[in-house]
Amino acid sequence: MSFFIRAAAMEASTLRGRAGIDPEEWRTLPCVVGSSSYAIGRVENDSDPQLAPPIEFARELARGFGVSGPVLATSSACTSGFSALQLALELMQAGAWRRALVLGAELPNRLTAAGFASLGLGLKLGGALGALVVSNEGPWRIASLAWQTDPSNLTGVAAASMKAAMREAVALAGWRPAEVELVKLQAENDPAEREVLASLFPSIPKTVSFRGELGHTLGASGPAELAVLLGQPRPERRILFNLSGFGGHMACLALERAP
Amino acid sequence: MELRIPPPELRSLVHARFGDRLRRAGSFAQLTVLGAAACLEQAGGGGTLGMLWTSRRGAVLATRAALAELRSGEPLMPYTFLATQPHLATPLFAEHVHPLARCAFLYLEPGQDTVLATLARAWTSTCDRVLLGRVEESAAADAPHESDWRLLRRGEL
Repeated sequence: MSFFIRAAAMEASTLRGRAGIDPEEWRTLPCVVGSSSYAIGRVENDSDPQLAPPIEFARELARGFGVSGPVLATSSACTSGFSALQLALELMQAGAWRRALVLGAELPNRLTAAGFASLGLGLKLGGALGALVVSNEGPWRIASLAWQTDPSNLTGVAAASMKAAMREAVALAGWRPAEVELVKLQAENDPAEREVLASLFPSIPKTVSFRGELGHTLGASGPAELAVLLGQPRPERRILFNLSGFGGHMACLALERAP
Repeated sequence: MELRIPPPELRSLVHARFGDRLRRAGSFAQLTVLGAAACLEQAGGGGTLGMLWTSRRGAVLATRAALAELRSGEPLMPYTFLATQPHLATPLFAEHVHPLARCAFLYLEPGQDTVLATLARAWTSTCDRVLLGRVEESAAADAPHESDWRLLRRGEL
């Protein structure tokens, strides 16, 4: 955890500078945190683990970034980071917030690794802290964020849900499928996801995945992979970003380069 | 609707309402589904539904149980792990009670009711009704579980 706080403190001024926010406004920014395990990784080896309310971990992270506005925390397993993003967008659209810091955080922990093993999910797990500033200005615009939930599927996402979310994201963005230039895949070699791409697009767009690089970073994966994706020069103008998780949740984010 | 349930009675109440369908769910998910279902049934009506609920401590009993399993050196049981994830109450609710058009589980700082009200109001642009809840598992041997819910209809806020 102290590593995360140190990392937050180190990255805060870079992030603030890139977002073009003055120090005074930065200090008052609201923050939404998504995580599936919160501080478990910090206490799980204690003989009598003290489970502090997860909002305390979220507040600690926000303070690490130097922001002291309202803090919310949410949890929806591997889609937690995008649940946080969705909540921030809704509060901005409602006029409650002008900008928000959105964090996806996952400390490496034995409990989650054992849980995934118990379910026969042999994924390479990773820890990450992903940070995004959501604002009405910036080089990338969120054209849509579509969600599908398949309640019959507790630990995965059916191809039909994946397809419906991607189709909805494209439609809500006002795009034609042929205009999508890049798809960030949920997984590197998932035959179902490939099949969905083949059925949705006249010709399959370029794809990218960060699983090999980052591992599966669970609740952090949305903001962390998005930060990696947009943190490098990109020639594309329209990108779809897939993210799925336990509970049958499938999210598809449509990103458009701002004009 | 405010449910106060002594911990030893939770299992039988859940069985009486849902039979065996929630038997593998953890107590946090059971409390969530039980309270939200009771509120929805009492309020009646129809239309699309959202579910927005909060907790201070979340699925703490399942998390403690999972950590104890981990310390024992035995393999963690899959349903013990799944019970540590509070949001997994929503697929259970959607499957056994009512489909959900929107759902979110939040940990909030004390005194953030205005954020909840703002979100609920925003959701009524896409949901006819929003279930708004607060769930806390028993924190002491003599303390009951708590599951408090109300149903907001579009235009009521």
